[in-house]
Amino acid sequence: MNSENENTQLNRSSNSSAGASQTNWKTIIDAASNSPTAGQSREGVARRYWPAIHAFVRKSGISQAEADDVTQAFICDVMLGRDLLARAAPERGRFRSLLLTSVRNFAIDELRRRKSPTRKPASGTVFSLDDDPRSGDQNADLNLDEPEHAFHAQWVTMMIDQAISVVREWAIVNSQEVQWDIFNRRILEPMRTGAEPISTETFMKQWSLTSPAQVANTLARMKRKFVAALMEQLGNFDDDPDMIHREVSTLLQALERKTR
Amino acid sequence: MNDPEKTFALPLQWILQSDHSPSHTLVKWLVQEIDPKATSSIDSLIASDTPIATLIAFKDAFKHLRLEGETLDDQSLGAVYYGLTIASSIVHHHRRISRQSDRALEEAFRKIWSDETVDLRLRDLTWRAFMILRTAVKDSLPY
Repeated sequence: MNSENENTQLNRSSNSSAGASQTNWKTIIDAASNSPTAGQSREGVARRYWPAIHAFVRKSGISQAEADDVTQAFICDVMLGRDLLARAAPERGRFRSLLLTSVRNFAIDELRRRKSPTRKPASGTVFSLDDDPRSGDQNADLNLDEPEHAFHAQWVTMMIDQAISVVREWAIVNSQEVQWDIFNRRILEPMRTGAEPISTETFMKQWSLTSPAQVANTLARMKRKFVAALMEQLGNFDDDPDMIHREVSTLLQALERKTR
Repeated sequence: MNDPEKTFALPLQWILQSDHSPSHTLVKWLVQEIDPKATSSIDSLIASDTPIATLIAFKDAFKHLRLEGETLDDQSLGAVYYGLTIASSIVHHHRRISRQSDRALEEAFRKIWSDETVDLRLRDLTWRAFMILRTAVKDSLPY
């Protein structure tokens, strides 16, 4: 199969995969529209961003039990209710930034509202704040480093998981199961789970390969496919690789900022 | 489970490592698969201390890329780097790692050094290999 066909397949598979298809601006724009598929797109967007939103809410000091409700409230009231999706557009920058700003504002409002004495019933507080040391000081600035780190970590995990889905699906569609197996067990699984990487010799024996060069080429090629899929997940910056590099640098800095 | 920080960071760093040319990115990662300590494909080939066994592994990998590369660009770059590993072994180890004749090698080296898209340091490598072959007794360099 020539490269053009394979790339087309890769792009097509990324747009047709149920798990990985909710990634791009088209879905967000559709979710904000009145199209017949808007409901499905809204559900997809909500499902896709739930973990990152939930991670932020949870790390803000809201209990596990309540974090589900708060996340749901944000998605219903802000993402869908206040047309956050309609305000998002490719030319307005990254959806991640817009979503993070909105979640941050929502969480701050929520925490302050919960800490406000006027909101408390006579019997006491409605919500627990998980021993949040900030609970006693209503006017203290909230330290949001940890929630933001959790948001970014979840965001990157989501991107990586979806890129994996895209490449796995591409491998199946194009009868590249051997290539997938080599990439998965040599690179992905050790990276994700700490599993021992499988040796070149084992792969050669298992898949009747005649040369270590085949394994090396497979790994380099599949890594390139994976990176292409990951870049596609990171945003619609197809025409500007520098934008993707800037976004990646921002994410790496955000992930390193946990213990600032 | 691995350290989550590293798990997140590694694939992002792959993006930063990737070149604007997908084929050059592939070559870079191919070299790193064979020699994880390699910092760049160019440095590995121009370094005088790259072991001959590593150069042979590079040569085999580039030969495979030349024949089985996904795109024409991949195949072309595979052919160039295949020649470059042979040139490196001649220049730095005074050994040939190919059974091709001097004439065929000279022709391949000439083609690489006249290709202005190839890094100047690599073109210089092929020039030096060419001169060694030219000044040696015909087909006398040990295999």
